[in-house]
Amino acid sequence: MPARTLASCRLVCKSWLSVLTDPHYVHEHLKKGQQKLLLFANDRANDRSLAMVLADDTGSTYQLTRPMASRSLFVHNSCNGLLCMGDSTGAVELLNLTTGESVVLPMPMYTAGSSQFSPCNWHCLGFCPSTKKYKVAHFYPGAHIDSFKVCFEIYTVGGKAWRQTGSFHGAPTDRGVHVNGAVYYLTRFRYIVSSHICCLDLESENFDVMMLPPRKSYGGHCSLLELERRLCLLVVDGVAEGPRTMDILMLDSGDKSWTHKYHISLPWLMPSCYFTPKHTLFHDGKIWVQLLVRNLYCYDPSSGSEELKMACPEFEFPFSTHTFIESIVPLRQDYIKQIQ
Amino acid sequence: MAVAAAPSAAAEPEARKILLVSSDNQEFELSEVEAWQSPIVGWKIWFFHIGNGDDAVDRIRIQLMQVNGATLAKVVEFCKVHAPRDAFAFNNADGRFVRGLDKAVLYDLFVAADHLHMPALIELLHWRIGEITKGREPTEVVLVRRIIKTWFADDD
Repeated sequence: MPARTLASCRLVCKSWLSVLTDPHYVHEHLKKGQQKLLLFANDRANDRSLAMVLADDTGSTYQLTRPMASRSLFVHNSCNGLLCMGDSTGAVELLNLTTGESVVLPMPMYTAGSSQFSPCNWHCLGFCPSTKKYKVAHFYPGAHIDSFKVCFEIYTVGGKAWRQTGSFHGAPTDRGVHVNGAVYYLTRFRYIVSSHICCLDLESENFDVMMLPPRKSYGGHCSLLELERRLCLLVVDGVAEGPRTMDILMLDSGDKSWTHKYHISLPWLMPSCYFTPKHTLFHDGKIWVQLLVRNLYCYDPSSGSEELKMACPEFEFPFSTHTFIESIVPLRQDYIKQIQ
Repeated sequence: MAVAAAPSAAAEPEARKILLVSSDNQEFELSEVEAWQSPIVGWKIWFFHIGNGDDAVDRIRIQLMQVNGATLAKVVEFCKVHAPRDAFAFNNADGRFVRGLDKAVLYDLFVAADHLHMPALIELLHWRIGEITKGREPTEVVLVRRIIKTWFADDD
């Protein structure tokens, strides 16, 4: 049954509510869902945020009418149909677009410099496959003396407060991505021998470090993304004046070796550093890449051409792209417990 | 633990001044909030203290070897013009800034914005390049050649 229908079914009676909010059931329903592409935009003229689902058979658009004038709202990341949203004050909110439920998290420890792009203050929503719990990890700078440290705190959805889980040697140069219960981030802007990937396991809340695989050429700009539920490395080689190419390497399921999956040539004058990391997505058999704030491009692996083509006409508003799946993951645990 | 500053200093970034130095040793001052529009610069600010001990400083000097003086001047000017707003909220001040640029500087600025990871500046430059090349043939290779040609000729 479609997620939106199930969401309304929760209101029928207590036993239906019980079943439809059971983590195991919610997760099974999720696994059957189709992964889609979501574009999140802020329409300042009309003081609203828009979440548009691309290439959806039903043409879904979710409009969030939220007072925007005093906040600049952006999406940190999305996971299983939940959006982790932030604003310039450093506040964090989780939203399930399908059910409309939202929960504002307690204020994080560090709020300075909160923005869509900051590698020094970012949040990442993730899912622990074995306990079926959702957690938000927050990364922020450590004290001056030992500045290569990054501090992190974790909030478990349904819990009361952030837990200061510690610090780690290895500060991020870019915002991280969540893949299968772990948050990954890079420690250097460019693909050089000393670059490595730090990995925070959300279940155990422990860190690990992974070196990048050796490469023929170094110095390219690299970033992390998720494709087909695996961690991928995206490397852009070439200079600003072009030509530029993009290579995508995928980490295997044993977390041990990398496979080169795609080689794509970029249009001229395309920046290497843009939205590419977390916003390069696999959908409908193609790879969707956002190269400028209003333009979505598309690469078709089956077409035989290495080129990225413009996927649709330029949008009216700047947007960010995210994977999305319709889900009934519950957020208001307190409300549910009250009813039960 | 010696320094009381730690978390509170990290929470008061506006107080510090950043001195950006070009490859040819020209210096430009801006506030930390303005400098953070480049995450590359921001990262260098974050790790400034590694090489400089724990003396509290109110001025952080960062040298950018890939950017020359003329270009860095324009980068800093953009940071100041654009700083108070959201990344992609452009207005007339940004339009005046980018229309006032020489074509040669436009090109160097694009390369610098790419190097410094500044999406807002890249968007603005892309828009301006689109304005300059409006009405020309759409193929991308031709686009690049014509941009270079118009930068070094005066037919526009």
